[in-house]
Amino acid sequence: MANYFSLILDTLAPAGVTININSNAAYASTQLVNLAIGCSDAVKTGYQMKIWGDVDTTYDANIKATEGTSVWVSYAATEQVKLSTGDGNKTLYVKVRDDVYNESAQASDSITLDTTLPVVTISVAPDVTKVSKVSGKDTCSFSFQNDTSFVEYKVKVVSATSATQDVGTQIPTTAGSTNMAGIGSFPATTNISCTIKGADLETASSGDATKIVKVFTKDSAGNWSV
Amino acid sequence: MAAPLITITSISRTKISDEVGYDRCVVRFAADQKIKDFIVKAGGTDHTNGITVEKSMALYPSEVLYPSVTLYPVDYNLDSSGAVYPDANLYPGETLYPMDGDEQEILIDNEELGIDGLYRINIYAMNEAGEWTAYE
Repeated sequence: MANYFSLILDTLAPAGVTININSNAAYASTQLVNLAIGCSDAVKTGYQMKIWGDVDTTYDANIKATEGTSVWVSYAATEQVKLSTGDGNKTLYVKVRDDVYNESAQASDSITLDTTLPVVTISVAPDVTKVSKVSGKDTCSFSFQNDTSFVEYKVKVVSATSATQDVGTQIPTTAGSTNMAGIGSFPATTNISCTIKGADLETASSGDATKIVKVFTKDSAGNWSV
Repeated sequence: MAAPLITITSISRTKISDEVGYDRCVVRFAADQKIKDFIVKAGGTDHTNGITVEKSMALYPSEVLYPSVTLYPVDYNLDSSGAVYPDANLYPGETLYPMDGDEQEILIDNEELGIDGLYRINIYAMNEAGEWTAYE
């Protein structure tokens, strides 16, 4: 080696550090969330990050409740974190440091954890329990409401009363059924009136028999009723 | 007599900051002959200009000489006992080594550079004839 070498003095902290939880969603329906961690420095070789906040401290040994107890780990643009138990507002923090330990200011993001499932109630019982495809006897009407505000609903024929929203067949509206599905902003305890036509019921589930019709609602956090 | 040739034998890091543990660079170097003085410059084109980041201490113009790699490898001891001793100024992980050999060690601190940037660090030494290492 010669009598000279190059030495860099770098005292600037990493810039543009950001964190967002579940793509900046307002709600999370599960404790496991995905973080996107940003840093505007072009080259991040050797960089590290530290994450802390309202987390389940047993999930990741490096991510704890406080900055002091969390551990620096290699920088990554994404990270999965488990929020602490209990519905409510959760805040996560991150700092990034470069390869010579210049430390950024902390960035944070919050999300509301909502794991409570909506509860649907048939508020007005079906006016009939047996329908055909013959005019005058081909319609069943009922109403439902939800215990909380909701953003989506669907009415399905399912094979068991315990069925979840991802199974069964949604009843179409081809033959004139109404309010078999909807997306919007629905206040709690609002009655939604539904009519099921016999022909649509048959399309959803062919063959004469007793059909289990179930209403599912989804809240803002993405929780579907069961 | 030719001016001393300096060889850098190790560098602890090539990037420093003002953060503890990363705020200085430890450099070891050796000369091909006895030297009476050395100076380390950031930038500049010879031993008289650039930012002085390190220099020999209180030996010049005494008769005590810095060691030489090839000619006088063992005739110089900073530690009279010749024993290995820890340097309290070193961070964990930085090399500890005896100062009784033929290499010199210097520390370049971030505060000596002052301003962020890329620096060419040049080491110059002067031999007994008063000749300085040339800029490479």
